[in-house]
Amino acid sequence: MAQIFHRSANSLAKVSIVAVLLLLGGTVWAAYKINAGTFITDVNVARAQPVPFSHKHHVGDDGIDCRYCHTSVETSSFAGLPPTETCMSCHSQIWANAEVLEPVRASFRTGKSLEWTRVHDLPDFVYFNHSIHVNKGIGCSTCHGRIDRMPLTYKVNTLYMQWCVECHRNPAQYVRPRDQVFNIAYQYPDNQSELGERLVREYKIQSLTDCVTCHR
Amino acid sequence: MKHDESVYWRSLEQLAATEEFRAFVEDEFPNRTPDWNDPESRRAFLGVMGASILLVGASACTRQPKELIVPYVRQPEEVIPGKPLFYATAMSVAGIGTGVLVESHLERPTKIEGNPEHPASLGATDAAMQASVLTLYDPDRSQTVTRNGNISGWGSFIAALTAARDAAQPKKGAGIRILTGTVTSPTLAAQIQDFRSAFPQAKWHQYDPCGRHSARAGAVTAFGRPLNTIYRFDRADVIVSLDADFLCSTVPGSLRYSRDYSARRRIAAENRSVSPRRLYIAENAPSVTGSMADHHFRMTAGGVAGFAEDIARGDAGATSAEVRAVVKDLQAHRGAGIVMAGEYQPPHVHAFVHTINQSLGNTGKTVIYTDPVEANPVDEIASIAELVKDMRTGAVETLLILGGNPVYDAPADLNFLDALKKVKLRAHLGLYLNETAAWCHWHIPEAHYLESWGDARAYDGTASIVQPLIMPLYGGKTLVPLRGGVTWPSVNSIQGLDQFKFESGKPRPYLSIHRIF
Repeated sequence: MAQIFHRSANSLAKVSIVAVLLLLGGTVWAAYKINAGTFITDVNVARAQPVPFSHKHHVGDDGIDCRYCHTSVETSSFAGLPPTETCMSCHSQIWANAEVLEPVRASFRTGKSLEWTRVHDLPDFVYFNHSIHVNKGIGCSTCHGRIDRMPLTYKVNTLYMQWCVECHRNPAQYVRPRDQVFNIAYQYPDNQSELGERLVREYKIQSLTDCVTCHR
Repeated sequence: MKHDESVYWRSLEQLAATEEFRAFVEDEFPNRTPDWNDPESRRAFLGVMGASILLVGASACTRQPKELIVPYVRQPEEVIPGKPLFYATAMSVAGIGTGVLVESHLERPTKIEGNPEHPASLGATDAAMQASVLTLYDPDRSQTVTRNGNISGWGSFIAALTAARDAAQPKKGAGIRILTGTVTSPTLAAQIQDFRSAFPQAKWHQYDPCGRHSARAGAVTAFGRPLNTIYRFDRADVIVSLDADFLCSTVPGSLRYSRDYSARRRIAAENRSVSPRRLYIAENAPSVTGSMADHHFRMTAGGVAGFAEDIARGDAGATSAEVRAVVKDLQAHRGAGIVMAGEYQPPHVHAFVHTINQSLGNTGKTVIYTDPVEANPVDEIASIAELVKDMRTGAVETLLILGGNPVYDAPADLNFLDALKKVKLRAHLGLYLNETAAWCHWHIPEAHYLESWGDARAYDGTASIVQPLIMPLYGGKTLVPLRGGVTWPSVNSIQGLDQFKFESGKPRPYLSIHRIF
């Protein structure tokens, strides 16, 4: 009786096992790369806005404090976006006729809000509170990066859970003195591990890694 | 099967014993989906379910959709995005108000809790109060003025009413009737009185299906005039409830009563020298209060009257061991006892109870009488009966039904609907297009209490302000107007917030006032 399989079937079988393993591994690797990549995370991608608002100009050049516009960052979960009135408090005087600011003036005239595109967009099943972080010595630039160098706003971190948890497991590596929270150019000192440990004790910072801390 | 007298049946279907019903009973799983046993579709179902479970993970393979942030143009004072504000207002049930604190996120009410500083609430709420925020957003609320079922406008309604008013002017308003629920609101009552002084022949009827009809009639029997009774459970040692479920929200003030009643139970649980209040109850159906009672006497609803009579006669009426024990206990705690009758008991039982409390010296100590909470207390059963009689004889030409649903809930033997059909102009104000709305020429959407200005009195007479948290979602009109001056209640008292002239550029000035913290 003739053999059912040809001799070459042996090597074919071996090759196909290796090929399948490689394909599976490659798929997982590709999925991981895509997920961590710019296409999904939007890290370093500036979003189009109705007005090309420049943090570089307002924070870097003019030195306006974060809280001038993000008024509720110290008291509320939401940092707050300025009402049109806040923009107009200056721009009724300076650049009052600039073409680029027409949407702001239109909003003020008509009473219709400006619609900004959210840059830092957490999924809706995640709870985040700005005020607790700010009050416990986590600086703006720790998460938002050098916003004073961004002509258009983009995010510098993925806001993935592993990124959040990295700090929640060991807050000492990122905490800074409270009076430096809004210092956008803050540099961590060489003795950060020492200083961080001290501030964690002083500010009574807990390492909150329970699921319900954020997924409530 | 032969039905002899001793055979009990549990449903009309069982008594009729039809073939379908027998099949229904014998089937182990009636009401199931018929194709559950069909192997083909069951397999398909499991296949689809399996596939969808496998694909659940795939739903994570997506980019976050673009999300907008829409800040204010001019940020209102005190509003901090992300932080709620709390406003004090009051919710009325059958006219009786209870103070609440409403949580509001970015000017949208989301949660209702009791107002700790309001004597009728002390921070507590009942299920209906908790649920009332859902009514506000209910998409099934009526959303527009309708005329004969067709969409119409507020202006046309006012024109129709003005014509009716002008026609009734020479007759001093004869033929005009207003039907409301129980009104405790001093403002609304004053407005109706204003209207009636301009149109003396017009009449105001009140009817509430779940009102305190027996209690009111009992007070009239005992004192010759309606009086409001407040119970001080915090001062009572012995409580005898005659079918009165005062721990359940059917009784005005029950939230306060529950707090007062339970306060000493908590202390007594820790401190043996304090004895908890003793509660006797006579009732025919299990109730919340009955489940808390120390001594529970089961009897028919009709038997409660005899029980009350026996207690009223004191030692002489002590025909049974139960009555003897109750009377002895009440007499041992003169001035520290409460006897109260429930709404389901007839007026004479309420009158007995007033006599008993008087003779035991409880009056003025644990049982307080005040002027009625209602702005104009009337016998509501007689009031609606009179209205039906007049409608039937054709004496009613214009009927304004402000709230409620009398076609559905008026006493059935009055045959309200038949009489209603004889009225020439019928208008209904209500939250829903209910049976009454269907039989009225005009229907006006009512504003929810979270959308309205107004006032109400609590069970003990505390005047409570009702303030809106949001503009009427569906253009609803409120019972209480915002500005007086017009002597026509339909124009005047149904006027909505949209009639209110705000200062220009400040659309919601009321949000920053009456705020308690």
